[in-house]
Amino acid sequence: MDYVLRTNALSKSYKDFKALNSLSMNIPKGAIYGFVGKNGAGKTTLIRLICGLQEPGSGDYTLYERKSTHKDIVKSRRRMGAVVETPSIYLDMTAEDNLKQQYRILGLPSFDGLTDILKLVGLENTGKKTSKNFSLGMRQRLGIAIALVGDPDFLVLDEPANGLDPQGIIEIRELILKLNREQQITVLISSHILDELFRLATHYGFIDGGTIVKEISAEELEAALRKCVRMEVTNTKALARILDELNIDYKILTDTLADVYAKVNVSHLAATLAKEGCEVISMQERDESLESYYVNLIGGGCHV
Amino acid sequence: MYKLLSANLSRLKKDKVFWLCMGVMVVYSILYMLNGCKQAISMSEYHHSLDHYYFQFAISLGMFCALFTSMFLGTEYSDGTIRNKIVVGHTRTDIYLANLITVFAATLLMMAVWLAGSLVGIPTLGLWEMGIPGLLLNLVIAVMFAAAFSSIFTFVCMLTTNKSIAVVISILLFLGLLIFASTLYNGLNQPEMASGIQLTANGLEMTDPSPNPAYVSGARRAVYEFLIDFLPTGQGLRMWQLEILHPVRMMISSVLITLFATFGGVFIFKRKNLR
Repeated sequence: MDYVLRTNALSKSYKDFKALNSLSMNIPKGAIYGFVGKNGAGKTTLIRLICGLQEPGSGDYTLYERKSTHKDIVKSRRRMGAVVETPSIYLDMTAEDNLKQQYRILGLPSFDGLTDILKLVGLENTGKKTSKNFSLGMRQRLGIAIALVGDPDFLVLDEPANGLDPQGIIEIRELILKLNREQQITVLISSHILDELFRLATHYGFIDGGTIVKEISAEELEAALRKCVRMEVTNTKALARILDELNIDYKILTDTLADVYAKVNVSHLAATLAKEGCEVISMQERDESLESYYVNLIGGGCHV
Repeated sequence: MYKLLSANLSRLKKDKVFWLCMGVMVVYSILYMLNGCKQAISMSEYHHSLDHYYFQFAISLGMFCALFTSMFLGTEYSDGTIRNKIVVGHTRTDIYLANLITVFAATLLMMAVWLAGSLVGIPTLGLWEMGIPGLLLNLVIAVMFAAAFSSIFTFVCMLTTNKSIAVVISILLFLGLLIFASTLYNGLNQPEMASGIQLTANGLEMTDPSPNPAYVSGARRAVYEFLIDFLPTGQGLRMWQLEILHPVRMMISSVLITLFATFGGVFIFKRKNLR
């Protein structure tokens, strides 16, 4: 598998606080990598390191096959676009002028594609309005637009949904999906909004205390969060016997409770159980949320 | 570096603070010079040469440089746009130097509009008494202390991530350097001997001259003179008073300040944690 970014035991401390603690993560090419962690877990610190805003205390990372210690790491960064924390935009400039400024910073010979980028983020009609008069969502989209100048292959978005209203969140989500699907841009996205990430990400990295506690693909996560039917019966032994015969996955929780990982024919199952002298008291369809998965992974008492 | 300069200069063209400074400089120079012309016409004892007014900018250039630099570079931090340059692979050395060159260019432009505006005095006051070689020497010294000012304020503003604090530090630093240089300059201008006035039966009489305790002499005087020639604010005072005594020393000082501030600034900026 090709990787856009691989980190190797990255560490970073601020005085006595260890923000990153031997962090290792791998972002496959073409992925939307959801970076999940509570406040202070080290998400933004990692993003600052890979963007070159700060230097690691120890460890290194490889960006497009180039190690961070290599003198040409800046060439790998030219393939990146990023929005770190807040959108980096000149507040006294219009959306168009902000983009032109980034074209100049990149040394692009013309402003070709500028209008397309503005259209892509839905800011083509902002005219002479300066970005200080933009809504939070518009600023966020302009920040992404600036990150898209120069056709980056790797987009880093730090909490892009922060402070957005539901409509804004949907717009940002659609935009990220579009960029990933149509332009094959690899995206690293950190977010607190787990359910929102769940609609986007193809891979996840869970970070806690500056360390990646789990890396998992969306398929694997979906399997881990699979739906089940929670059944309350008078005799779970009888239920287990019948489910074994039907070759259905299950988990016995107590003498009367069990989770069944399949869609069952309720009438048929109830009839079979009745023959075994077991009554069905209740049935409830359940699925574990990303949030509960996260809490189980990191441990209780976390505020995401 | 060229790309960053191009981006900075295009931003400069639309920068309100820059144009405000330019406007104030040109209006100030014209009014100041016209006032000199008016005095020359109405009061013959105040008929000074063009030189007397032409280099007044030297004292205030640093203030405009401090204000502009802190606002222009501070925006890079307050708006977070410095990140856009680093993320796309520009080196910190290039970013620092491009900013320094932009600030220096802006400071020179402010100086240029003053010099251009002051030409309104020529019909009344005539040309420069110091002649073209003297004028050129003064301009070279001015360009060099403008570089020193630019490097000092670039140093402050590239290493201060809070725009408001950068503005306050820059202006206070300029005022501090100006007050320090003025104090030294006043010290040097104390007379060696002083006479008092005493009331006698014959009325007011001058006393015999006695040594002035405030007179700066010996090694201390040499240090004062060196510091005035070394500091860009001191050089400004010297130029304003048309007292360029050690032009080479002044130019070498400006070069040393520029190099020291720039190397130091780049060194620290390369290691600075940015947010």
